[in-house]
Amino acid sequence: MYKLKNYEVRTSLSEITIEEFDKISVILNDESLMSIEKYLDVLDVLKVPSHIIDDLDSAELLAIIQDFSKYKYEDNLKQTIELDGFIYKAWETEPKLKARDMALIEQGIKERKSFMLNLISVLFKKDGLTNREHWTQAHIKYKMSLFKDLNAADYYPYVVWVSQKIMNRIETTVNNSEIKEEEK
Amino acid sequence: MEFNLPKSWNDITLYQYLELEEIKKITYNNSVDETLELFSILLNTTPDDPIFDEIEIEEVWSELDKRIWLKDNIQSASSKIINQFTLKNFNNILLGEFIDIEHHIDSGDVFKIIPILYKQTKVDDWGNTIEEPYIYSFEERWEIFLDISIPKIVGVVNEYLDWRKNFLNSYENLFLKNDDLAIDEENETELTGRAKIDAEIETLNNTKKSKWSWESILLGLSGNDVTKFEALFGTSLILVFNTLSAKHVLEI
Repeated sequence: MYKLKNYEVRTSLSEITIEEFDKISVILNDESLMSIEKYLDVLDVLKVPSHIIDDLDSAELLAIIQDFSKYKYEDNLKQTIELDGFIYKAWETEPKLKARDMALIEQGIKERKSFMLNLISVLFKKDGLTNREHWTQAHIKYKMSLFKDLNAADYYPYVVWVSQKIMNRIETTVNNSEIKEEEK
Repeated sequence: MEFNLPKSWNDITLYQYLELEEIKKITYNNSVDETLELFSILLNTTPDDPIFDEIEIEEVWSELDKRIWLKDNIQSASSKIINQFTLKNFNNILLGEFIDIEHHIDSGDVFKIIPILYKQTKVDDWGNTIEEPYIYSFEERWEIFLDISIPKIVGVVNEYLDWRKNFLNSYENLFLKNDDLAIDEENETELTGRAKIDAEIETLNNTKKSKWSWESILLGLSGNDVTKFEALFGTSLILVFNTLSAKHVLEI
């Protein structure tokens, strides 16, 4: 939290929702925006009133940006979400990224769905449903509407976990291609 | 989870190979579904098989990396004998067989020439090896060859295509007249370089297509008597082409 005049700007992951996190990610990765524009748009997502944004000077903006960067996350993959009396579970004995889950996560990236929200909605499965039911697009869409207001900090470790696997895969694929090229 | 996936092209059947070719034409929503489709072909199952439900992504990637040979060319290993079938001497191909082979090649189903090129044979009372008549069910025979290892099939197809190229080259000018070789005078003045070459090739191809139409050849050889077609189908291809060649030279 960064105190700006009489307004408290939410700058910690623990203060924002999954939906807000995804919107912020899109803005920060938008190469068409200048750096300052990005952060002004982020403040808009965080519902900072426009008169506060309009009065911001560069020192204040820099301080807010630095405050964003301070966040340290806990490397803990939550096992369950309890919502409206239902349990949604991501893993049984230890975290595992199933191929079929990864297919839906990758598809979500391609379709530019909200990354974290799609990820969490795919990984957390409602108790008592079959695999087929878990993986239907309608059910995932429904879970996205349920999970969007959850705290982003609680599920951010999943973003890191899956992103790391994707990065490792890209690295392996590139290495394999180079080896294959050398063999030719 | 343990998958018993093939370890080389030798473990891949013609059927699996054709399926693998098909999935190259499909655009998938994501790479994982494409990989699971590939695995399902290699395991002779379907992509929605529950065996894939619990598999971890790292295992899929690891198994895929072990199958990098799928991107390699198939090392052909043709075989004269496959099951109870013996590869035909290409010089003994019959006109009817050749027409069917050409049809499959033109349709892009080049592997469908295999059931035509392999025959059951037996030794007759005089010790001659004779082959079965070309009256068997093509579809039933095709089903049998779908289970054969792809390197064996590829080898034979390549051998046949080489033979076919030489054969067609031998008779290439058979039906061409001098005026067939000239391109349209109007275009000749306008076209230069590669465009002219392409136009010439197209003219030659069109001429060849019209002159080599099977219907016109059959009608010509049978004296316009369709009841003789059946007999012509059972005639040696080389004999037919030599006859056509003689007719051409003698202008009869």
